[in-house]
Amino acid sequence: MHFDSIAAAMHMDGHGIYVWSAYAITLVLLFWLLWAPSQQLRERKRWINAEAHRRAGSGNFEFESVPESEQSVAAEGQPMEGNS
Amino acid sequence: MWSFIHKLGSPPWFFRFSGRVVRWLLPLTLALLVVGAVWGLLVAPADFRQGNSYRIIYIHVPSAVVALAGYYVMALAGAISLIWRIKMADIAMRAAAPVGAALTGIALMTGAIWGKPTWGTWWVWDARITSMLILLFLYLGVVALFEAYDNKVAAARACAVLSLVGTVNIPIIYKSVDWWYSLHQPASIKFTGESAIDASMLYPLLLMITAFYGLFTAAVLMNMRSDLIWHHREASWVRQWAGFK
Repeated sequence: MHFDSIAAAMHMDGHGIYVWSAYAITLVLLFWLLWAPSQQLRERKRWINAEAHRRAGSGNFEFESVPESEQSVAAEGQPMEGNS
Repeated sequence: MWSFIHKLGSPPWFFRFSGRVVRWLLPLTLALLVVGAVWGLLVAPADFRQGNSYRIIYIHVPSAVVALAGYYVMALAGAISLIWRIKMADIAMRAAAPVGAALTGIALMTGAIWGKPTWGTWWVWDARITSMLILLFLYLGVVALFEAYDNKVAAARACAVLSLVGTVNIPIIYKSVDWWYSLHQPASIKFTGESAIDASMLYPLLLMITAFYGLFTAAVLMNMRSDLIWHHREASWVRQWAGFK
């Protein structure tokens, strides 16, 4: 361990503010990088399930709205075709 | 080998395979990241000239290295999508763009924060930093360009062309510290010859670079999975996955 105390590790001889803030910004961005796609996948899974139930006409199923970010895409109502 | 490449083009197979990869890659990467960060922040010795501010290197260099490598991945996927019209390559290209943008952003911001105590300024318009800023705009450009088109086939083609044109920037970034005199130091780690960095500082750095590569891979695969599922939302295997029987 390079530092004698937690206070010394925080202060880093005056460079603590720079070092720790750089790490904090990185942590936030990296968290977002992993959280955003997993959240989006979860939302889409829920939507696809609800849509499938709605089409099957199960009746008692509460249809959930399209995730806000997908509204323009879902409004087309058609599956997107590949370009091949 | 060829059958593996062939399978990669199959959406249900790729979805299952990438799910398994992410499941073991993500915890491994996060563990490496924690170990590397603690090592770099608290265990590694201080630099005799820069003091403790140099500890920013453990996020600055890995994010910059992987942001550059990630651009090649994006451009290569763009080329494959353009030449062979493989949908999966198009999805990979778009999945890499936001991840690369975030990593470039991290490299620029941590560089600015490091610059203040070391050079006495947050920002200089030198070759390395300016070309990195262009890299950020290229990544963001691919994201924005795709959103700008209503016709997604044309959008993918335009993005592929943009990412291919942007590759001229990458060797410029690599060589910028050698070609132009600037505040930015030349590379400390060399594949050939002696690295200009002590082993006690080098090992945590290599660990962090590995962790950032893992993180890039995991994030791109996660973006691809989300995109793939939405693209094939009418397919029966997707409905089954979503829990519809």
